[in-house]
Amino acid sequence: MLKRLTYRSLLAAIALLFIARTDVSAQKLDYELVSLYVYNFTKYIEWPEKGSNEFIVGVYGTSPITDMLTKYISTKHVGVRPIVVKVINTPEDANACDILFLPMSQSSRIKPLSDQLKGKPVLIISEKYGLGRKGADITIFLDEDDEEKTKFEINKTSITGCGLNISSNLLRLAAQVY
Amino acid sequence: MRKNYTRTFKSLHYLATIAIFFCLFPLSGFSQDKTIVDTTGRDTMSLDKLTQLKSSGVSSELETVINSGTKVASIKSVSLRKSPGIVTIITEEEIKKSGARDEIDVLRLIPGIDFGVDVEGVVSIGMRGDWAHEGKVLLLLDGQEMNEILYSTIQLGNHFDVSQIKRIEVIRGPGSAIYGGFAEYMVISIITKSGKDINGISASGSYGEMQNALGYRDISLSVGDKIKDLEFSLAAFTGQANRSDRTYTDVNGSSYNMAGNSALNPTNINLGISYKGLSFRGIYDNYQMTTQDDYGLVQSKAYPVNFLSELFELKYIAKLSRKITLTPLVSFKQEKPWNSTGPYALQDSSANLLYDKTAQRYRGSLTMSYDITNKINVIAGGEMYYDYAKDGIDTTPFINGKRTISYINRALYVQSLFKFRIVNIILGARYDNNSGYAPAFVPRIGLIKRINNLTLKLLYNQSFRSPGIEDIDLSASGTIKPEMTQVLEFEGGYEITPDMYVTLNIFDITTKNPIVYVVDTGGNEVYKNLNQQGSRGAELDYRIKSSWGYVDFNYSFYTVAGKTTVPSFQVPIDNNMMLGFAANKFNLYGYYNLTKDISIAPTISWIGRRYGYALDGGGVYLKTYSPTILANLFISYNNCLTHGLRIGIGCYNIFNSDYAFIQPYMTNVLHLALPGQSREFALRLSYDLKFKKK
Repeated sequence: MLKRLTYRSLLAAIALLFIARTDVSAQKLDYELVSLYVYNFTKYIEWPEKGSNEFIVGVYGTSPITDMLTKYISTKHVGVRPIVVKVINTPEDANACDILFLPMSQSSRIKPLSDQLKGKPVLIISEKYGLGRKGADITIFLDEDDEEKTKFEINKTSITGCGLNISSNLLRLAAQVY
Repeated sequence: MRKNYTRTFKSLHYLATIAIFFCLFPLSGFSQDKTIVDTTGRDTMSLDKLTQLKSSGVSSELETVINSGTKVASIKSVSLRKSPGIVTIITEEEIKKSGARDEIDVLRLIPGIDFGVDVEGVVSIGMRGDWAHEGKVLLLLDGQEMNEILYSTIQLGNHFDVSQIKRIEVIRGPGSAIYGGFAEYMVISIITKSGKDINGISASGSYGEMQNALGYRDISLSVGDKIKDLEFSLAAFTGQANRSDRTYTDVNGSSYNMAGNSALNPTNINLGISYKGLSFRGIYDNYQMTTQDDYGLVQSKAYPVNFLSELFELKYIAKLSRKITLTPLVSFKQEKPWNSTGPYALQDSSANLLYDKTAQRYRGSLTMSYDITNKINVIAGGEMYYDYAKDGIDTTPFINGKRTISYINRALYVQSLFKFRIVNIILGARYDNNSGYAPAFVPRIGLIKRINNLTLKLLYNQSFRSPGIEDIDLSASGTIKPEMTQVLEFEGGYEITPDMYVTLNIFDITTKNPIVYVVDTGGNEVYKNLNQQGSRGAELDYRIKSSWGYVDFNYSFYTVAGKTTVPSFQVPIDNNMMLGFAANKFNLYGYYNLTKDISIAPTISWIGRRYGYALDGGGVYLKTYSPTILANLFISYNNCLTHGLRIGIGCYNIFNSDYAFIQPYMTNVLHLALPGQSREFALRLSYDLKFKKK
């Protein structure tokens, strides 16, 4: 009887382990590579004319990607507009961005931010897998089942709803489009 | 008693010495610079090219291995740690630095694997306590099935060129739902270097001398390159070896010196060509042995037993869209296994040594892979093969009374891989219908879950062993069924640090209707289905890999307690074990980088108590073989004198242990344990000449 109980307890424990919810994005992204992705996205997406002479890439809060973006893309241009990398600390500041990068630690802000930026030409890029369905336009993630390649998924509906034009070539390169 | 105590003390002394050696490893010596990621050109790359890059720079050396993609257990590439199987990968670097002489030296390092002797001096594999020589382990060389199709066996010992191996992927569990009837217990996939890997010309030569005879002398030459979409590799390997330099004694007390009478002479040519999605593989494999022990009784002189195989495969991977891939494949192989037609076999008909059968397999398959979403993949396909065998000797017709026989096998397979947020699930099944025996249906299900650094796998597989042509031919009642196995496995893997990974798995194997080989009182071979067979146990594997080197410790345990076992595999005095295979085994091995180019690699295998039949003054008796330590040490010097030249020296079986390959089954004609190699010193030279970068 005791043996049967122990066996069942063991099976139950194993079953619980397998159904427990976990974060699938536990792996670290290579931020140098992510920075280059961010820059390359600007070649496939058209932003409407804007008053600012700068192309602003904002990073919400503190993240090591800020240094990488500064290092790798702040000397580049989108069209004639020089790229400027800024740290964004308040939701209001996000309105001025052309791209808003939402680090993992800020993922919980996606809902209010996407609501706030709805219809505005601000591309929201996140690094938490699954955030595309919650309002992020592009999500960059590490596919640990494919030799840890860096991939991205696109929420096409959300992007076009912002008034941004997205190239079909970018859709072709995405791991997932919805 | 005193003798046992002394042995135990000696073993402990050896182990202590070895342990101290390993413990000192990280304390001193050279530590290579941390891997510097080559980021040259990344900032000017197109997005298309960036998406093809692996995310190097964030992974440690060990993570690079455990996150590397493998298809061996899933067809679709997934990372090793999330592969739906209990999988071991041994890399080129580990093989090269360990100084492994042949495939036995490499496979011995894997938990659960040990070796035994069959007949005619052939040494093969045991897995988790089960003798797996005939049709239970699938051996693939560059995707080509190396099991011969008459008896379904594999033959080991200086057979394959280890200097050409890029990596070995082993499913330490069943793979029938993908691979069919030879993958009942395990799949060993040897992958040699591609043209891109070789990128030039490579040559290597090895020479080893045992205490009383030549150990081995092998040479290998390969050329390969990748020019735009065209990739080719051509490798040739030949050599000579002695299985042992010791003395074999049979049940009658007759003996022979194996030095010079137990040759293992391989010749292997391997050609691979690919252009875009089209690929061709051709392999010529001629494994020539000499033996003097027949089915166990010493013959008056040594005679040749050869295994010739020629294999060809043409495959096209057609990407119909981003989501759909179609792979048609045709292959052909011709074999002359267990071939014994030399003068001695012809002359001494009483020994019944003549064997001259040719077998062919024509295979065609079509496999479709469909990525329904990024997280759901379905693979489905069909396969058909036609087996044909011809007897070159008039006197031994097949079961149909003719000198030729043929069978057709049709199979359908399907697999779905779901990568859900909560858990990854693999579902699969394969159905085989063969004209020679009853159909087999084998489903599988696997749950794989990662919780931060912890990865859990719960796997249930059914698998089968398809009877070989000779199994049907020699079946006791004229019919034989495929044996059916179910295996339940659970594995937990934990990444302790980026440099350390540990896995622990438990397994339970039950085989119904096992096909068992017996030799009846008249000396005739018979195959028949018996009742049931099985084992259960656990395996632990801890590895640490960093710039200073690599250490792997693994331990494996099995028991047959509570399981039904086949009488001929049983140990009459121990209900927990099977003949020939130790219940406990551990390996401790690795390498240490003394400098950037010089490494030292100790390898220790401790093989626990085994049982086998032996002879003493009173006749044949069940012998308890004491635990054995096999220890090797290899030092290699890369870029010695000139760039690309590697020199290695090694000592094998340092303690000169009297390890022997035990026959893991009891028959009326008993083959006593076949001695292994004595202490051996070896030298290896290799040179890689790289083509200039284009």
